[in-house]
Amino acid sequence: MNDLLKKYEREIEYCSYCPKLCRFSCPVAKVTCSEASTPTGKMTILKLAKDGVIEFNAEVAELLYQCSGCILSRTYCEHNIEVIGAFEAGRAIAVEKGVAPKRVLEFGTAFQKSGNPYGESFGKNLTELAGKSVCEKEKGRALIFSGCTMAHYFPQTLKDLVRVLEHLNFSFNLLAEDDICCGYPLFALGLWKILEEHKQRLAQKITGYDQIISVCPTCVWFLKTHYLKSGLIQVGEIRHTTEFILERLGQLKLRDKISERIVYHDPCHLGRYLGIYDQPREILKWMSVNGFKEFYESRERSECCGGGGGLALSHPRIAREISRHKILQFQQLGGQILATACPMCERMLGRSGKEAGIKVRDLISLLAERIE
Amino acid sequence: MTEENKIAQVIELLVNLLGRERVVSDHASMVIYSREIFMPGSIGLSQGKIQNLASAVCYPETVDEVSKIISRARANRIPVIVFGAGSGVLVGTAPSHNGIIIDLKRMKKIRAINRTNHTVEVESGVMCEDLERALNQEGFTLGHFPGSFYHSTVGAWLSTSSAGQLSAKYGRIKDMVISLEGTLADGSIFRTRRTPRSATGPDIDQILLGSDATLAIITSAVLNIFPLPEKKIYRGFGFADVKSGLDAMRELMQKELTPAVLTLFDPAGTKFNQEKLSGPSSGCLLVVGYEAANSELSELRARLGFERLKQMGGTDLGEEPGLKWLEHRYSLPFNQSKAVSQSDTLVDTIEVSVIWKDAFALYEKVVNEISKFGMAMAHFSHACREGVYIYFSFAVSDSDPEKLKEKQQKVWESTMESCLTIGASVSNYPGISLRRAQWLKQELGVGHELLQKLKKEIDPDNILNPGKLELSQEGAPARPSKMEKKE
Repeated sequence: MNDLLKKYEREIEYCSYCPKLCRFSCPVAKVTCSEASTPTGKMTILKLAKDGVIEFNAEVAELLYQCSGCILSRTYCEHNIEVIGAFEAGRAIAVEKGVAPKRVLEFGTAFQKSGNPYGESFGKNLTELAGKSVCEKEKGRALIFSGCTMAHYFPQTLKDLVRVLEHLNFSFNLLAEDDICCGYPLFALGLWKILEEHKQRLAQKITGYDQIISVCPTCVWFLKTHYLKSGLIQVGEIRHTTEFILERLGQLKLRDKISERIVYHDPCHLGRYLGIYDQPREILKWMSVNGFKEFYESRERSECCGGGGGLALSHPRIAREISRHKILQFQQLGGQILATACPMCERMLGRSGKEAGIKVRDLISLLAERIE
Repeated sequence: MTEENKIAQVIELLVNLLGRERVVSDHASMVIYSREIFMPGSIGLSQGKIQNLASAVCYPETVDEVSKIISRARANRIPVIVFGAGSGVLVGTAPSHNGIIIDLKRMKKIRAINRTNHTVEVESGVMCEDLERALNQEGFTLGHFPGSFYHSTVGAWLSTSSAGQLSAKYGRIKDMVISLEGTLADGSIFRTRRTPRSATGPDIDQILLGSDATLAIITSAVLNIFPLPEKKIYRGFGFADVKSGLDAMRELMQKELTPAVLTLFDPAGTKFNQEKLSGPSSGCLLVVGYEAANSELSELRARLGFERLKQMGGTDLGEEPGLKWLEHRYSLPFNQSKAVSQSDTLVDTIEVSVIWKDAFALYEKVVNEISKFGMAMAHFSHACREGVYIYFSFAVSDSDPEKLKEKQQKVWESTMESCLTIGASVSNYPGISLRRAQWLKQELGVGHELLQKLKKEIDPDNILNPGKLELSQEGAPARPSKMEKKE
């Protein structure tokens, strides 16, 4: 057990002895109101289990899964600690010991069968959606990696992306495979053995391109840190669509600009993980009449949608409450369109927004609707 | 009845009242709720020790639910401990007697912000930061910024009588309360009248404030609020020594030049913070900050205040030390993690209140005493016309954890004794709880007997936070710890 946690010794010690200085920022603790769900609470439990003071059982595991991986607490921590890494390692231990929540273990089994979290035949679906020619080109140029969440929930956004790229006369391939998931959900949930097999399969399909572009910031971050960095794939660069589009704004011609009141939500993986804050803002400014509004807390301080860290699967009710909190803030700002740049954020905020009649849109779709 | 049966009965009682989802009793959660977050509790944790474990934690959402819990607890003689965010440094929420913990954080509504009266009605479970953020969005501030700003609740400030870093301008929480709502030990609900400055006999609110939830459970309050300052002007001044710095502080407070922040670091504190705050390389740093809803007013006060400080021998160090103080004002507790995990050192603070006349003598006496055991430094803040608070920070070292705690206890004893001898108060912030209870009797004298009688009358079964403030004979015994390190 301690081998997996060794890497996080400093984080576990510092957080366990910290007087909860990031407490207020944890979206999970805000919802549960429990001291055990605070970053300090969870780290303390992990420490005590690691040291053999308490048993590493299902109760401990249950707490370790109560984290959305938003790393907002890092913003307020003078030690710059990201708590999620230690929790992910703890979750891997829980899976190994068989004490992880049942729904997590079932997720692993289902993933193994289909190669993605949704049990879908993405290969066939995406080929139909984007056209066979787009999906069967030679390697060596740009690969569009849609990621499973967008392919499952927002195929229209994928179509919108294809439209924008064609408008730019950009030559690309679209990965249309069943195992289109980057594997982040397996990683976050501690299903590390299944992840290793998955990574080997996926790596063969995505290696050898000049660049990989994805609408999903989670995929971008995970492919960069768990495939490219370790040398598992050889790719020139991996980029988020907002980085790619911003460089080509001059080539795009809009029919008209957005006149509605937009509020932009920073996805955690795009912002705090990848450090991409300005690009989506620049694009929004460019394509709207009156610019956009910020949430009261934005950029490094932006609050999460609840969809990261596997929380939506392990604790869907907590994740939902977190997204409702964000929607409430959006309503207070008097916005008309909630814009974001991540399919998981669009999914989480879209579900909660729907209850309140709020439109949540990906930047790519907003752009595609307006190009000539 | 066996202990296990009694605990099972407690849990059943709570589940019947609130439902399964709002009651927890798993071992992991009990450990987290029962630990003391500050030293030496953290040292105990590092050794795998937590003295007492609670039986269950419950999460009421309304004052009616709190009332029902209290009624049943009283009928079954079950002790009740109220919990905010657990940021206390004085063992105020330590569970006792197989007690139950009432976590009030689900009472988190900001019920109303009244623009006419400049008041906010807020429930006890609201976090400090959340309340301030909500008020800021409406153009207001509570002006209450205790060191625990990021990790404490409204209920905690009320029950410990907290003071914020800008109390010179905005006052302490005691000064901000217009009315309170809560439950007494028999479950009856009270709401005091929402009229300011009434003269209808003894002030009930003030009796309950700072009582560490031993007399009542406060579930919400109406507090006064202030317009957000238009302009903040912060500055650092250097003074040759503590005496001249204290004189300058007193001058501002007594000559109607009251700033929002006025904090004087002694030479050791100035040196310790020199890099972080860009203070002087010797002598004492005084941080002074003016803010007001009206920019012109801020500027006028700042100009007059700064001029006076220069006349009093202060060297103007510019705005950098002031702005840096603002930026780092919650930073000190970050040092705790490093201290516990990487050394044999225990760091702690003792906060006391003293009149101007005795301030320097008390400072000198306490620092000399602490120096016999370890390193000491101090800063002076929360000034008012009559006196000032002194925050003593100290560090003691020993490779033997038991000896380390002994040294810490000796520092506490000598400091408290010095306060009582000189006539200072053993506490300014954050209250009494268990840590300071042994000295309370000496300070309050007959007043403590009066409080004991009151406690006996309104809580005859001693169910509300027993042992705290030494208001009842029974201390805080608890079921034996289950936290034993596995060999």
